[in-house]
Amino acid sequence: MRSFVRPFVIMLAVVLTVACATTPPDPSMLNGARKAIELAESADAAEYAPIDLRLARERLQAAENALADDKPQEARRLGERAELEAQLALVRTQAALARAELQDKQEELDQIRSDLISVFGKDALQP
Amino acid sequence: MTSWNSFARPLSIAALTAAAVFLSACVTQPPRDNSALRNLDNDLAEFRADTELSDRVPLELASAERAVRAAHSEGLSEAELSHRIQLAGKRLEIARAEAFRVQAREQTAALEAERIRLLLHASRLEVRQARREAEHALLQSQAASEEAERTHRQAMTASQLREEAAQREREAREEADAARRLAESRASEIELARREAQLATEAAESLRRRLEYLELRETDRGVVITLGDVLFASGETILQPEARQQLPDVVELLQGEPGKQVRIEGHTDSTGSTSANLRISEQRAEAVKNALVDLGVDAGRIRAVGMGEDFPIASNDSAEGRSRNRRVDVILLND
Repeated sequence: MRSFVRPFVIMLAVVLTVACATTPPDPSMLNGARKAIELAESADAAEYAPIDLRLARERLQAAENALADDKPQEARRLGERAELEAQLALVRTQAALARAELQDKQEELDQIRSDLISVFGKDALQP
Repeated sequence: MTSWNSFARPLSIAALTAAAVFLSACVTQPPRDNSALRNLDNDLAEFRADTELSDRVPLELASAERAVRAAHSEGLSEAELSHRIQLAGKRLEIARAEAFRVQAREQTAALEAERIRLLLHASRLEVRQARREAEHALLQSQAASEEAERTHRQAMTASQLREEAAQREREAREEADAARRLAESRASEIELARREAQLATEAAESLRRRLEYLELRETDRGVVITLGDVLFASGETILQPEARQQLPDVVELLQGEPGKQVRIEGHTDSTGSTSANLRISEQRAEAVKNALVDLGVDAGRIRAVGMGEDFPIASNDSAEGRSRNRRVDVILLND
């Protein structure tokens, strides 16, 4: 009778222990935010979207703190915001680069037009 | 009663109010007067209306709309609502930034197309200009080439003349060479003839000298060559060295008539005994014979004899006469 009860009790104790250990914070929860920040950094967001990048980093830090404080709900929300802020930093960086490229192209075109006029006369741009 | 009524009425009102408050709080979330959510809706509507931007980013727009709807979900806690509003706002900003990016890239592509068009246009202009210049150059070069053609023709004529002159010069040179060769050959013929003549003259002269030097006499027996007494010292029978210089001429004469026999006769003057003179004359004739054989005359043709003192050609009374009598005669005998 006693030999039946004892393994059951031990198993129960183990299950409870494991459950209690995993319930608190899963650090992979913030992986999306970390990845997004890395992407933004590698795209040179520190140069073109420094405020967005800084917000994202601080938000991630806060999320990690929340995770450490055993506040998974808050950590999730902070992580999600950090991820979107990092994405925004990336897109703004890409947009800034695209605008710079556009400006270069515009200048190049202006140069070509003035070259054409100087070489072939003022009617050079007429088709 | 009035006192209860007057007391109870306010109480009941308060109770009703409290109950109503509790009820309303429990049954429904109050329709919140949330300005943040309204602002979010306005931002979304505004972006959607700006089709110049929103049409460029359908995916990002959809994400933003989903996020806004999520913020409108029923039964959200205050914190979750605020969180979702924040997220949706970020989604909208992302959509707008992406739209700017796409727009810039499209404009860049349009400028690039324009740049290529202008470059093509430029090359067409260059070609047109080059063609005009080429036509101009062609006209000029046609004029120039006609001029060049004339000069060329003249040059042709000149070169033909030069060629002809060169040909003539070659021919003339060949003729001159032939003439020179001819002249040389003629000259050599003349030279040859002259030399032959000279040789003949020399030979004749040498023969004459020899004939002068040798005493030759035609006799009935044949040609007699007399070698003087210089051949031998007095009383000697051995040829003196000078005699050997005369002998080749004698040999030449003898070899000129190879078919004739040769008789060599030794003679003395009358001084001394007859027998001694005979012996000496014989020995002297023999010495001359030996010398002639040494010089190549066939020994079989020659017969040497001593004649003694019996056939003088001059008087033995004078020294000169005796000298002439001391002699050796070489006779080329007639057949």
